[in-house]
Amino acid sequence: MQESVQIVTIVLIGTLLFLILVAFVIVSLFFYQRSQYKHHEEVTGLKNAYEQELLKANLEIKEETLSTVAQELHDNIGQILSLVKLNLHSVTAQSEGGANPKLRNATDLLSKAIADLRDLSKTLNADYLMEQDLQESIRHAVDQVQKTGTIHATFEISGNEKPLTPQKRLIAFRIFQEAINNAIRHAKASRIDAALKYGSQAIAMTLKDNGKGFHVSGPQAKSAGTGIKNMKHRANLIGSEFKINSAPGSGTLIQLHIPL
Amino acid sequence: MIPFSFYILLIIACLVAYLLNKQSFPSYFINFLYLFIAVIVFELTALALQSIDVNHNFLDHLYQPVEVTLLSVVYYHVIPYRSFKKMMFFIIPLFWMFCLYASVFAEGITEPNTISFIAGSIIIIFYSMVYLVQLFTEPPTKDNLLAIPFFWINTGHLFFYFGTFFQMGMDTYIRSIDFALAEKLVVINYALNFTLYLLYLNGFLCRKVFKL
Repeated sequence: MQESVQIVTIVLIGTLLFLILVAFVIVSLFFYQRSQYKHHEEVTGLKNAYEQELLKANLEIKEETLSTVAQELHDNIGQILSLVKLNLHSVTAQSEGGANPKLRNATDLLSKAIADLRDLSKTLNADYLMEQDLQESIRHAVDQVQKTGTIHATFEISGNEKPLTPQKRLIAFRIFQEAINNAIRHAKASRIDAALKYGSQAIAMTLKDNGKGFHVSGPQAKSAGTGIKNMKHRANLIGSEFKINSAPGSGTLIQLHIPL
Repeated sequence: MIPFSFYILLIIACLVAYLLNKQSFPSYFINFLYLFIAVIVFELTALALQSIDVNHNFLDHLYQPVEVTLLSVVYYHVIPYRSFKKMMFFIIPLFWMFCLYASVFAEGITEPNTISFIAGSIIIIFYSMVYLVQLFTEPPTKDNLLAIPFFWINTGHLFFYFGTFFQMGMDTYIRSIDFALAEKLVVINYALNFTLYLLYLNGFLCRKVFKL
């Protein structure tokens, strides 16, 4: 009897000790993994914040450069062209028997060049864009495309207009510019439909083209990667959601949801 | 009888949980399905033989190498260490030979399979420890540990095989001096079997409970 009690005691204590040991190892592992997980989360967070800062700085430098170029175009080249136009006008006025048609043609072309230069200067100038409404900037860009005569461009607005911060306006417009450039240059689109939808929580900006399209996850996407990456990074900077849908032969749809 | 029915129901629950969430597990988890089917077949056959008073210990002798082989295949896929994988090519055939020797010559096919069970337990404990070492050295940084099915399964193995080690190790000795006590101590085996299959069940459901 005593031997049986001894056996039971040995078996129970032995089993219990083994089980406690296993439980201890598992609990330690659990806490260790949790601390590692938190550490990894912190490192990832810091890395992301650093990348965001770097990107922000990069974009600021880019915007500054564009603003300088815009100012130079407007103040320097624009002034010179205006002077040339003035001189041409005076030559036309002095000429007897009516202005030479070639001279008149040159004056018209010059007027167009000055107007285009002003437009270009405006779209490059961050300060100017930040002062403008997003819909105005987009409408202007769409009109410019429509003016080329080779692309049919439309722009639709729905909902009640909501104000956006200047930073969001600028970045959203830069994304739009990149998208419209891609549609013209790479997709060879003949139709572009832009839309701006004001919701209660967010603004949805979409740009649809009937161009070549591409595999969003294929090797083509890699080659078109820089532009798309830039748009995504820019969208991240203003906490927006960026989506791109495309397939060969089906055009491309770009969507940006900007939270208010 | 009630613990046995509960035990079988638990295995069936594991089987159903596996089948329902099959898509979210790697393909080698199919070995658990084979294992559950094997357990049910062996246990029910043992029950049937017991009811007609036929010795069924030979079933355990047959089951042990099957169980260790199926679990070895799973660990082969789970543990990435090359040396470990190489080691497995020796472990499994050696274990089969050892089981054959232990069952036929050392213990006898009609006696409880203590030796092969202990050897199998050592092997599974070794695998489980290697998996733990892997978790300690390369802790998952993307997933919550509680949402990793194999973490639960491995924990079940550790509890079961470490826990039964003592009781099964001394089983032959206890039977020789007090058969009734040995039969009573089987309750430890049952309790640990419940723990094992509850942890299996948790493993098959954890992705839904502890979302990634």
